Amino acid sequence: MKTAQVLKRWLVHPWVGLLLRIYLGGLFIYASMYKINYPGEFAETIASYQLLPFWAVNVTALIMPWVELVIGVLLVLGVRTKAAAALVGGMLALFSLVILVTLLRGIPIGCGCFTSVEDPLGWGTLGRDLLWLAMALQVYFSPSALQLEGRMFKSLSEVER
Amino acid sequence: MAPSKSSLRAAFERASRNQEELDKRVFHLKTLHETACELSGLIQPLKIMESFLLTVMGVFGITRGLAFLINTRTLQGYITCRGLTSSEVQTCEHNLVDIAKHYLLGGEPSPLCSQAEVISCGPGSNPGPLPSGTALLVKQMVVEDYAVLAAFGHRFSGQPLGDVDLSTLLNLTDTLANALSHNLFNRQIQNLSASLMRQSGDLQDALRQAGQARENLDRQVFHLQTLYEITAELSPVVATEKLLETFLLMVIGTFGAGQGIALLCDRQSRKVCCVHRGSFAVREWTLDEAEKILYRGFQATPERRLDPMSVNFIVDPQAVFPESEIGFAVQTAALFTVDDSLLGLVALGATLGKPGLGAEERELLRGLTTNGMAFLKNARAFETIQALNDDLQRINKDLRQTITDLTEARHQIRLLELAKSRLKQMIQREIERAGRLRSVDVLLVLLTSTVLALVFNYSSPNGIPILPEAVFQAQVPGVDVSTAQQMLSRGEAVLVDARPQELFEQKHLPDAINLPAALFDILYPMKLGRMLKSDQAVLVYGRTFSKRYDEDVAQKLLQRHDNIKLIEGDMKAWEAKGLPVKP
Repeated sequence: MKTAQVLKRWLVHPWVGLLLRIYLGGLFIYASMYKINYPGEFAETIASYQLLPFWAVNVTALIMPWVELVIGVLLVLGVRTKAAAALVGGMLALFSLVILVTLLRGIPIGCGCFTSVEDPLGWGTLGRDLLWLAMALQVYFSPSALQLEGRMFKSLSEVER
Repeated sequence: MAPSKSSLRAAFERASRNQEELDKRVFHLKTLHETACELSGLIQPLKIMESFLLTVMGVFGITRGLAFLINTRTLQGYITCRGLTSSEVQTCEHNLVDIAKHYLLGGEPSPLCSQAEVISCGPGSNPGPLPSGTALLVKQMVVEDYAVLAAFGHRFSGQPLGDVDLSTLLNLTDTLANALSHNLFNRQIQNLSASLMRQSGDLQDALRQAGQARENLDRQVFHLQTLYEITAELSPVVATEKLLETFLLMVIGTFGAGQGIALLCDRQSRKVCCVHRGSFAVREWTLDEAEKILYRGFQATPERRLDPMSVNFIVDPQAVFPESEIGFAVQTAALFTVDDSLLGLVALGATLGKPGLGAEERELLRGLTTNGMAFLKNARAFETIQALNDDLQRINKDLRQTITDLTEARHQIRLLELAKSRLKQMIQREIERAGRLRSVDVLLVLLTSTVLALVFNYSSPNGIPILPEAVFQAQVPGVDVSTAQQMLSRGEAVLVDARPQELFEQKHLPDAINLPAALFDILYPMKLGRMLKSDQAVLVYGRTFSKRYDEDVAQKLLQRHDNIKLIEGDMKAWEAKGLPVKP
């Protein structure tokens, strides 16, 4: 009981929130870099999942890395954290679902999460994504320290008062 | 007929009696004449009366006599006597009033008249207040208010006076009255003359005094006129220097001085004002020099005091202010004190025809200077007021500027307040927004990402088309599964699997060559280029829901061969026909 309370307090601690936020943000920024630079390869990866119609593959390959970059930056800075965390969570949930489906279908492809040349998709990949999803939930629901937006508006309201 | 002897004797006796009578008359007349001559030569009334008594007593052989000259109004008079004892004289002096009342005013026995009159005669008559032994009384009015009364005793012979004697006595009395009257008149005339002389002297004095008074009056009128003129001249002037100049001009003009200088030292504003008139070497005065000379002047004043609005003349100004310093020989100098901080000196040179100023002229100079000081004080007050006014105007201007600034500032403050409230609202909104998830934010992120992606893709060398190339490329002709199978079995065609290697390895058609588009340039010469005969067609298959690999590879092959065909329906149609697949 006591351990659970301590754990809960730790889980919702703002500094933990900050740590997870920066970690997730950095992760997404890092993940977006290669994909942005090589959209053709990422399009191949998406196509290999065989879940999108052929006409939507290129558009998705172009836009998705930029979404990752923008929300990663927002998370690191702590601006529009709620929306960014929600988007991160949503994307991770989508990725987990896609991986699950692909694993069930038995399509032998690489993950393509960071670069196009990776180990083949496996259950570990799904577990990793689910862990990240849990982190995103923490960031969404718990307050985190050093949010640029919150800090800025808080100090402005102090000035106003 | 001859006269008889007796008749002759009688005639002789008569003649001798007549002769005697005539001699007596001649003697009396001679006496009268002598008496008249003697009395007229005497001046004092007492002497006259004394001479009269002696004459009468001598002529008639009378033992004693008494004479009074009495003022009938004041009942006072002179007494002279012969042959009386001193006690009798004292009694007479004591009884003078009674005697006068009894014999002169009472009308006893007859009223007083201008003719000499014998009052009583004979031994039996009542002497009254007079001493006993008085045999004869004579009285006569001399002039108005004065009467003479003479009393005589008995004759040595004891005989009474005869008619001739009485007549002579009356004549003598008359002579006495005349002499006294003359004497009194003379005296009156002398008194009048003396009085006249005195009055004349008084008149002379009065005239002289009147002349002096007139002179004084003229001088005072001149002084007042000068004071009035200086007041009239100074009153319209308000500037200190101009005032001092006008004052000096008036002073020089009034006293006819050849040169003059007026120095004013204002210790409050530390300024010196100096004006001068007349021909002499002019010099500039500094404040220190002016203060030194004023101090020297102060030490040379008799009072050595500096009361406000006072003028102090300097003793021996020539010694105090040498000609070398002032520029001319100073005859008169006065120090004037308007107040503690405003001191001045007025110095005048030689005046026309006079060595220096008289007391009255000094007073006039004092008056003029006092007047001038009043105007200097006013001028200073005016200057102070002017300065205050200027200050006030400047402050007013500043105040107006301040008000303008304040109004502007208020306007700015209002704007800032407005901005603040807007900012406050905005911040409030932002704080609220930051705390919750909004679909707008999500949309915004997506939109931003899309725009950035499209822009970046457009400018990047690794950019890809938004839609797959297959959509825009020309349609590659296809063959159905049966025809394809026949062509393959006859060796008329080669089968190419366009999918990636992983998918190929998972499942593919028998005898198919795996030639993915990504590795086309490497694999084509190795796997297809060498074995493909010129009459053989290339049948390409392999597409997924997400990608048309067959079309991509067919397009590449079309650049090298003409006979390229896609298998319609792909692997699904193949499998639907029950044809075998590997593995």
